[in-house]
Amino acid sequence: MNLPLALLAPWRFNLAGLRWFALGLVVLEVFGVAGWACFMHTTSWWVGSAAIAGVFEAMLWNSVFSYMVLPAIDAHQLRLPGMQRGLFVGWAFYGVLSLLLPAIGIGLWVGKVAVIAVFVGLFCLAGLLWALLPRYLGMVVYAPFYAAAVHARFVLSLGHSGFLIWALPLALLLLLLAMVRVHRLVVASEPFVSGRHGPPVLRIGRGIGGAFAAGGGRYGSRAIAARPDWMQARASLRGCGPGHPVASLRLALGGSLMPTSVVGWLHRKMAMLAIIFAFCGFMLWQILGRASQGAPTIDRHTSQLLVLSMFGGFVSASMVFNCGIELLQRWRKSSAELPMLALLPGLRSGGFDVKRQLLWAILLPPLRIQLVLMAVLLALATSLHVDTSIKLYVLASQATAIVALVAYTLLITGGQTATAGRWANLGIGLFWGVLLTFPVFVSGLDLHLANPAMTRLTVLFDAGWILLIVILAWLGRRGWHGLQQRPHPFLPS
Amino acid sequence: MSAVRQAREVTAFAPLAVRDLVHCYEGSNVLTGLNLTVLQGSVLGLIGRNGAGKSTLIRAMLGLLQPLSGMASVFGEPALKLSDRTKERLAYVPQQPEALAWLTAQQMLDYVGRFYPRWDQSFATKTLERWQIQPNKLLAKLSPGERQRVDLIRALASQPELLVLDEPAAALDPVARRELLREIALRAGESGTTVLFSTHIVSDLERVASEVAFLHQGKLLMQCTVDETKERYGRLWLPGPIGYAAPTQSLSRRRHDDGSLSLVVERDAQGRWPEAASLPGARVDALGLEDLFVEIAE
Repeated sequence: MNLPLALLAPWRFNLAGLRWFALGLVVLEVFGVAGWACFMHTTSWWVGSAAIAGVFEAMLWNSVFSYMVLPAIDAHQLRLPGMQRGLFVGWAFYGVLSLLLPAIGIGLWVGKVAVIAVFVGLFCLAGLLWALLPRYLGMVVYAPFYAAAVHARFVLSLGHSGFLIWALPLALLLLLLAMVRVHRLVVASEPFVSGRHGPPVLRIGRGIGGAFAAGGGRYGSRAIAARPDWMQARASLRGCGPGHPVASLRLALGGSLMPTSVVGWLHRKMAMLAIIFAFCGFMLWQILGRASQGAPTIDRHTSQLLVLSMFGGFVSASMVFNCGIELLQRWRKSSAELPMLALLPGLRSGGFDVKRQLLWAILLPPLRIQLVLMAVLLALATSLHVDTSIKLYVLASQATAIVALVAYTLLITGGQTATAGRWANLGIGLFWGVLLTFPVFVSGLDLHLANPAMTRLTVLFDAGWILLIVILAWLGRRGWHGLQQRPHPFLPS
Repeated sequence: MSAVRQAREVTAFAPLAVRDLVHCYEGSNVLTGLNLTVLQGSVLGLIGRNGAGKSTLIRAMLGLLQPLSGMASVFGEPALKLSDRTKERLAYVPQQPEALAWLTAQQMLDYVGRFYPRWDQSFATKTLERWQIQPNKLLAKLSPGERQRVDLIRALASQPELLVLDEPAAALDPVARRELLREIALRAGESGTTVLFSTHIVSDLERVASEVAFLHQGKLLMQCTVDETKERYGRLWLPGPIGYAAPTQSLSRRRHDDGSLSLVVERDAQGRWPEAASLPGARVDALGLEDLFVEIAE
C-alpha cells in the first residue's frame, strides 16, 4: 500500500454514511471554533474554541478513524502483505493533522500551540480509546478527560508548564495504551467473539450489526457459548404461551428484553450500573466541590441538575443503543428467531395484531424506565427552581432518547435496517455531542445564569435537541410506514 | 367436474404451492418465474447445487420472505398472511438453526410446545434422551449437529401435517441422518405427513422421496417421481458428424473435445426418445439420479 492509498484508507474502508458524517463533523468543528471565537468577547475565548475542537475531534476519532482497526484485523487474518503498515501510516497522518490544525488555528492566536495540541490530543485519544476498549473501561477512561474539560479554564489558566506537566505524560501513556490495544485486537484469533468485553468498534463496526451476523455480540450465540455458566442470566418461561404474546415475544427476542428473575437481571446489569453510578458520583463530587467554593445557590442547583440529566442521558442512551443493536441482530438473520416467530401460532391476543404486540414487547420495558427517569428529572427541576431553558434542556435530552428508541425500533421492524444503520452513528454522535458539550461549556467557562451568553448557549443547545427530535421523528415515520406495508413483521431485511 | 377444474382445486388447497415466483438479491435473479406444487401426502425432495435458490424458494413458499412477484400459498392461504390454524399444521427447520440460543434445549421445547395444541411431549423427552442431548445445556453451547437435532425434535413433536426441512442432514452424522430419514419415511407413511426437504445428497433423496424437483439457477428444470427420473431421462450421445441433428429441447448440452455432443433428453408423451437417438452412431445411456443431477448441474 503506497502513501496516497494509505491516506485514502480511512475514507475508502468506511461506509459512505460515515464519510458524510466525518465531513459534517469537520464543518461543524470549523464553524463551532470560529463562531465561538467571534461570539465570546473575553480573553479566554480560546478555551471554549479548544473545547469545541476537542469534542469534535474526539467524535471523529471515536466514530470514523477508530474503524480503521477493522481492515487492519482483516489484513492480519488474510495475511495481506503491507496493508497493515499502510493503515498505520494513514492513522499517524490523520493523528498529526488532528493536532496540528487546531493548534495552529487557535494556538497561534494566543501563543499556546503546544497546550492546544496536547489538549486536543487528549480528546482524540479519549475518543479513540472509547471505541477500542470494552464499554465499561471506555467510560472510566473518558471520565478524567471529561473532568479535565469541565475544569479546562482552571487548568489551562495556570499556563503552559502547569498543564503540560501532567497532560503530556498522560497523553503519551494513553497513546501507548491505544497502540497496545490496537495490536491486541489485530492479532487476536477471534476478535469479534468477545461478549461484554468487546469494544464498541467491533460491536457496531461495519455499519452496525455487521459483526453480529457471525454470532458475535453480547447476546449472540458465540458470545453466549463463550460465557461460563455462572455468568449466564437464565430465562424465565413464566407467563409465556398463547394468549400472552408480549411475554412470549420478549423471550423469543432474548437479550435485554428476555424475562429473567430479579437476581438474573441484577446479575446482567451489575457491571454497567456500577460504572454509571461511579461515573456520575465522580462528576457530582467534582461539580459540588466547585460549587461549595462559593458559587451562588442557583448555579449549584443548575450544576446538580445537569449532572443528574447526564446520568439520565447515559441510562436512556444505553438503552437505545442496546435495544437497537439487539434488534438489528435479530432482523438481519434469516435463519434464527424470525422464521420461528413468523410461523409460531398464537401470537395474537385481545384483537391486536402481532405488529402491535411486537412493538409493545420491544418498547414497553425500556420506555417505562425512560419515562420514570424523565418524571424524576422534571420533579427535580421543578423543586430546584432552575431556569426554564435549563428545564427544557433536561427534558429534551430525555425526550430525544425516547424518540430515538421508538424511531430505531420502527425502522428495524419496518425492514429499514440499512437506514437505521446509516443514521445510527449520526444519531449517537449528535446525542453524545449535545449531551456532553453543554455541561463542559457551562462549567468550564464559569457561565452564570445572569450572563446573556449563558441564555444564548442554552437556547442554542435546546434548538439542537429539537432538531435531533425532528430528524428522529422523521425516521420513525419512515419506519412506521415500512412496518404498515409489511404483511408481517418477521421478515428479515 | 372437469379434470382441469379438479386439478386447479387440488393446487389451490395443496399444502404448498407457488406460481410465477420471482425473487432477486442485489440485482441478480435467484428465482425466475418459478411454479411448484407439493401435493398432499407426498415427500418432495428439492435438489440443486449450492446457490441454486433452494433455501430462498423454501422461505418464499412459507412466507418468510417477500418475493418480488408471484404468489405462494400454504394449505390455500397466502403464505405471507397465515392464520394460526394453518401455522399449527406446519413445521419448518432451517438449514442452520440458530434460534433461542439463550435457552436450554428443554426450555426451548417447553416454550415452543405451549403454542401447539397437538404437541407430543413424550416424543420430545424420549427423543432428546435417545439422541443423547443434555436437556439442561444452553442451545448456544450445543454443536451444530446437536442443535439441528433439537430443532428437528421441535418440528416433529408438533405433529405437523406439513414438514419443511432445509438441508436437514447437512450437520448430521451418518447415524443421525439415517434416523432422521427413517422418521421422515415413518411420518409420511403412517400419518400421511407431507414433506418438503432440500438437499444435495442424492442418496438421501432416493431413500425417502416420492418426488423430486430439480432447481438450477433459479429455474425448476423438472419435477417428477423418483422412479420416473430413471425411465424418463437419458443421456443422448451424438458423434461429431451428426451433431447437427441434436434436438433443440434438452435439459443440458455439452460438446466434447472430439466434437461429439452429450445431451440430457426426455421421452415424449408416447415414451419415445428424440429422433436423433435412432441415427446411426447415436447412443442413449440410462442415468441414475446422481448422474442426472451432475449432467444437468454441471
